[in-house]
Amino acid sequence: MNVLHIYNVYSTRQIMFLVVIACIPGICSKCYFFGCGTLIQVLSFIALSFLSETILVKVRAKSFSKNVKDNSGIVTALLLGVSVPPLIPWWMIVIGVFFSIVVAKHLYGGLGQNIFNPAMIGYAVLLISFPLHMSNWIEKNDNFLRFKDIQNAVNIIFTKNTNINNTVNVQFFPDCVTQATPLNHFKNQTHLNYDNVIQNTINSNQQEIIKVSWICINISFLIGGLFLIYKKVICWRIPFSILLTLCLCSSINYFFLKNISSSPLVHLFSGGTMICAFFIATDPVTTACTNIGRIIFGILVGFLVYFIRNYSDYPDSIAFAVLFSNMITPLIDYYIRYSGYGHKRI
Amino acid sequence: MHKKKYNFKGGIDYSSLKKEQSNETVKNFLSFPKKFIIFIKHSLLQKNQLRVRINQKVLRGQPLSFGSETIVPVHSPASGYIKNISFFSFSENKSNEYIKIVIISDGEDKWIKLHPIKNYKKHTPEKLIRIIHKSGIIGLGGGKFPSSQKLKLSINKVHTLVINAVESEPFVTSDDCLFNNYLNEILVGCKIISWISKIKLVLIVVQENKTEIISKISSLIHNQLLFKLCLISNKYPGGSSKILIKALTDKEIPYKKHAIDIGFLVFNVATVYSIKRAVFNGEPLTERIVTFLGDKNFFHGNFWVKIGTPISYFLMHFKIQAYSDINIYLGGMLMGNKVFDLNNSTLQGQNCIFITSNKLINKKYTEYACIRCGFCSKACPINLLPQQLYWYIQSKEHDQTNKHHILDCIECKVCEQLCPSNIPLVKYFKYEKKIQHNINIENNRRNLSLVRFEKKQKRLFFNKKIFSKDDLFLKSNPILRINDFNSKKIEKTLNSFEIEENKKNKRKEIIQQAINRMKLKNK
Ligand code: SF4
Ligand code: SF4
Repeated sequence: MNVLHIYNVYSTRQIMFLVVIACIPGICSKCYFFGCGTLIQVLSFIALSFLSETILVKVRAKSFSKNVKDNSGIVTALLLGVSVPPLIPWWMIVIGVFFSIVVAKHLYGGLGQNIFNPAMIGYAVLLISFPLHMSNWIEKNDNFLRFKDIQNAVNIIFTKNTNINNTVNVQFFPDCVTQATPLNHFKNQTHLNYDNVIQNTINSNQQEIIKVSWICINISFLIGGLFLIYKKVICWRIPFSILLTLCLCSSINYFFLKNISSSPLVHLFSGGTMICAFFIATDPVTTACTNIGRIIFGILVGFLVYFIRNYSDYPDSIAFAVLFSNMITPLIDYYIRYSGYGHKRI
Repeated sequence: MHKKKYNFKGGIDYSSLKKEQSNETVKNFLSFPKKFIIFIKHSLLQKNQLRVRINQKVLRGQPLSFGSETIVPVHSPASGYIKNISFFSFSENKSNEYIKIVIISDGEDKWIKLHPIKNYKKHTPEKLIRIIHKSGIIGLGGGKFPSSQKLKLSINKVHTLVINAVESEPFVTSDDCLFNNYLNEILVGCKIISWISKIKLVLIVVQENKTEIISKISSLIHNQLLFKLCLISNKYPGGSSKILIKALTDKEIPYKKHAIDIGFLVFNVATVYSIKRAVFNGEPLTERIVTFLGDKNFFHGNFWVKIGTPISYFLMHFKIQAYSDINIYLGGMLMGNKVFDLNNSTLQGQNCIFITSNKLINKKYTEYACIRCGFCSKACPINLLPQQLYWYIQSKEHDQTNKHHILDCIECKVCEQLCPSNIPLVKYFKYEKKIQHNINIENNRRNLSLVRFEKKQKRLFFNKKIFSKDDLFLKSNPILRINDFNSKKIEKTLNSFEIEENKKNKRKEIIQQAINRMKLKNK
């Protein structure tokens, strides 16, 4: 018997589509600050993921319309494309798609069955295997024409120029400097603890520019996330608890150790904080399903982000924080559940 | 006057989906149907006994079956004669067996002699309860629980009577309509019930958007201390007693208990009305208001329908010819069951008949995978986690589904309505509930046989002890043994054995002969 659906707020495809829309301001600002490489990457990620999903669905003998048309692969590819630095070579894109779509999603049984966030699996694999490429954020030069910029990006991504180092970049972008994120800068400060290195490599003016660019990117993702919350696609509890925890931890730290720790604002508006809080940690498949469980999940992610940023060798830590929390999710779900109607509450 | 808006968790607000509201007045059918079909539930545990024979003349209101503690009698809806009585079970649900009684009406609609009670305060509550029991009144909101038993249980236990006028389904207006037209009689019914179980406060619960009724009621009751009007927010499902009490009092009915146990007596408006009719006018329950929900082509509105009217009659009456094009549901849009047999008749608990064309229903919905978005658990009015249940049902972990309290689900289909992946969740839940039921039965059986086994073990052990005692005794006194069992005694016992064997053989022979005779007859 077919069921009468007379009240359906969103369909799954609509939800995924809204997430894609919410990503648009973030992508735009990223393109503005880091060049069109981001856009090309996102598009190629999406194309590749669509291709691999189609093949996998054929191999697994599942229905195409049920498993691919729900747009979830596009969202995964988009998030992965947004979170990696621009201008990574094409074979890294392939590896990323393979690990996120094939391994993390379809080998676990398709949408809804995966334990880990697929985009973050891809990101983590790339980060562990190619740390040099993955911490390579290149600043765009404003003097370039748009068209030339696209050409350059395509050249770098798709030609054999794979061994990126500063000299190669300079060939393509004569006025460009390879930049680390402010978090990298902060890491150098805390771990090496001598100012000369930093002053040698980066002058303070450029430092300011980098900071502003990251703040802009984060704010545009924040806007997208607020749009999603307004549309009631994602639950507000997770981003709220992540940001609050991160803010709290870092401000305590800042209060006691002013000279070596960075301010909470730097923590909130640099790196992938906002994209993590609003787009990645809120992936419904891999979060806890009760409200309290979600808050616990958010607190865990926020604390881990702060902890790994401050005390480990990785500059940015969203992937590891989210993946670790995903591991804990079944445990949270097991112990925190509603108790139905009329039962004694624990 | 007391007006406060009560709310409950979850649910869906259907008010944005405006459908043409049916008229608030009740329509009478022009003619009586010729044939009535009445189904009386029949099971091995509760054997219904019939009071009528085939070809017997019956009058309207004449009881057709005897009632017991838990079953109420069923009454003839019209005068006429009984054409046929047979066993019957519906093709969609073979496990329930019914007694099917076909009554052909003579069109006169003559009542049996009624015994109206004008002053109910002269009679004891026990007598009134007996009258209500005799009139065959059960919960008309769909609960089908005998009202007399509910009242009996409630005496000296409850402090508040809750009159449930909240529509259980969107677009159903039968309760609303009843309130609008028979307000005074319902208030009398409330007084009767509060006299029976000595209640000092009556809460009338109405949805907040029914402004006309609210103003009517509040003008009528504004200087009576007994009544109190409560408004509940206009959401589906507000009609279930579980949710109603949670909304009104913020207390939950404990597991496996009724509202009576925490001091609330919940009655549907239609039940209250029929109780009043039964006591005040002496009429047994033979008709009720049914909402017809149809498309524009079909009929819709509220009708007085006699219990036992076959559905094919409605279709004939409104000249709907193409049966194959339409689907009929008994019950509302969401909780209704599809009807496959047009001879199925309207029974006491049905407040809505929903008719749609096939085209609307056969729209295609692709069922995507569950993305665990949690919309369903946010909307579930009784705090379940549909996505976890769905997960466990798919992986066949019956233990976990039980731990997540699947048996609490009231099958309101709210979760299913909101699911972005179009998963028919309630279908899975019904299936899983059946499995849980079977598991329970199996467990009970296992426990029983364990008890039996233990008893047997004890018995054997005991017997052994006796033997061993005897043995010791015999061994210690060998002389006694010989004296004790003298030859005569032994012969006697042997003889008795032989006699018994002879008897058995004789019985066997007789049976064999009887069987042979039967065989010959058959040939
Ligand atoms: S609403 Fe549907 S898709 Fe969302 S969690 Fe519930 S069952 Fe899954
Ligand atoms: S059908 Fe059951 S699980 Fe779904 S919303 Fe209603 S009570 Fe909750």
